[in-house]
Amino acid sequence: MAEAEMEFTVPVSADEVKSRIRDMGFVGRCFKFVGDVSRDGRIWRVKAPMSAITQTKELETRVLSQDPIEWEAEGKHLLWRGVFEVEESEEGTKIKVRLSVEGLGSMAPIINPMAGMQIEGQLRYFAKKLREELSRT
Amino acid sequence: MSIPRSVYRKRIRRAQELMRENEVDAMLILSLENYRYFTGDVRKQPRMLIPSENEPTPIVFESEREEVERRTGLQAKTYRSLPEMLSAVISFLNSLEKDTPVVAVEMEFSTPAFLIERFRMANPHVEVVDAKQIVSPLRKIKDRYEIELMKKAGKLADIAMERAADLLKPGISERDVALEVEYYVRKKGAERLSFPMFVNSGERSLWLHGMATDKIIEKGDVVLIDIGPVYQGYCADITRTFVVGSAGSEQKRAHEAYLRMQERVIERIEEKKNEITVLELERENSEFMKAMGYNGLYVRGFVHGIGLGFEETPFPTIFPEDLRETISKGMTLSVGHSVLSIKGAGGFRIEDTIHVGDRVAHLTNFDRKLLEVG
Repeated sequence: MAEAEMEFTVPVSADEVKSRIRDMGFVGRCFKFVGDVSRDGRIWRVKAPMSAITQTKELETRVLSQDPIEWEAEGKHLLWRGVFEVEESEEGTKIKVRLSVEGLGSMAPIINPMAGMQIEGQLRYFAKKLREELSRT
Repeated sequence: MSIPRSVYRKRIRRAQELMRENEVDAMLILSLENYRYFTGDVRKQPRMLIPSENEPTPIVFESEREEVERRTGLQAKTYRSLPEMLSAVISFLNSLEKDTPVVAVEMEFSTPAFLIERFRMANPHVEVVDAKQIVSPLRKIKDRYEIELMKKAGKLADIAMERAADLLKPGISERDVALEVEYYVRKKGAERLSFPMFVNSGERSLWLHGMATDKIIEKGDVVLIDIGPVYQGYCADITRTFVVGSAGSEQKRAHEAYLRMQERVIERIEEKKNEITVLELERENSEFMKAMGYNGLYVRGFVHGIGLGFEETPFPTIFPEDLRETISKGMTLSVGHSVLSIKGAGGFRIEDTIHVGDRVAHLTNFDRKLLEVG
């Protein structure tokens, strides 16, 4: 399983941050590999070429815990997990994001070596987008 | 011919200056042309990262490391598997201390779209831009070492065309002409042909693009032959038009018009280098062809750059923005890229490779008249 984490601060209240990042549709739209999300945010549609490489077109999301906010998004051959630790700070709200990804089933030996390399870039994009979106609220 | 390492270092430094001017943090080299331009080394499927500061890093299969480092003077990273190769690229990109590093990637013939697409997927935090803005300003102006190599490529083009002229006769297939010419010119020193040779005969001489098929060449055919030999990476391009048997008056007239257009273009380049644009030349050609009664029969795109790529900046038939390029001293050009296509008479082209110096020098010199063979 590949993991990466990053910490940043946004100039909005912790309550506001929590209400946004509990919405799996909002979270999904911050990933570059997610092309579209269902109206209720439960389904993330994976963009090509990742959908073809992983043979996973959709991920079904669920929130596992509210504090810290833990979620997972699982598809045929791909499982993403995320943890958001949120804490008030002088400048606003400090958010620690931890992401992990792993391949499932027969695709695992193909996906996992690649996932290990790519997760940092995925997290960097995700964190940047999340920061931008939250700062806009 | 050996090019001093200092020349390659200078090219890298100039690329890095352009990268900084364009706010590009790094450039990923995937094509042999650019890898060769910046290192002098030749690799199958080269990969090299050039940061905007500091030394470039070639990424090579482990067993090639020693040779690459000896030939380039650069420190290489190695791999033994695809994940290791990707890891070398990705860890370099992750080391760039920016939220969104800007990376220039070649988006040309030699770069498969799938590579760019997967590169984007693997590095979502990276902004990918076209490397043309970095590479073209350098490569379109040739240094003296490049000119020497292109002169040799030009000589090989002449030799190849001479061989083609000897072979053309009724009964031979287009494919056999191409096969014999390629074998011959490679024996004479060409490392390869930059594109599959055109032997377009009969109705096929009217075509914009070409190839060599099993079609048997017949008496009365117009045959258009286009050859691009490569010498130490550098290309020349030559096209001549032949008639198998005796040319008719309309064929002679069309060929003469094309030849006059080529001569006019070369004269204009000589008179107005550093001033005239590709677009102005194209406009003048259109007017000339209209005056000759060939309006609508001549295809635009007479001039393109040539060097390590058989078609490179300025390359207006693919990149329309290149129409605004000024023809400048130091460029090497192909003149006669497009066909005058007249149903009933044939297709006509005379293409040569030239160097724009104080004077224009022809790098290909094979007879330009309409050649009657067989």
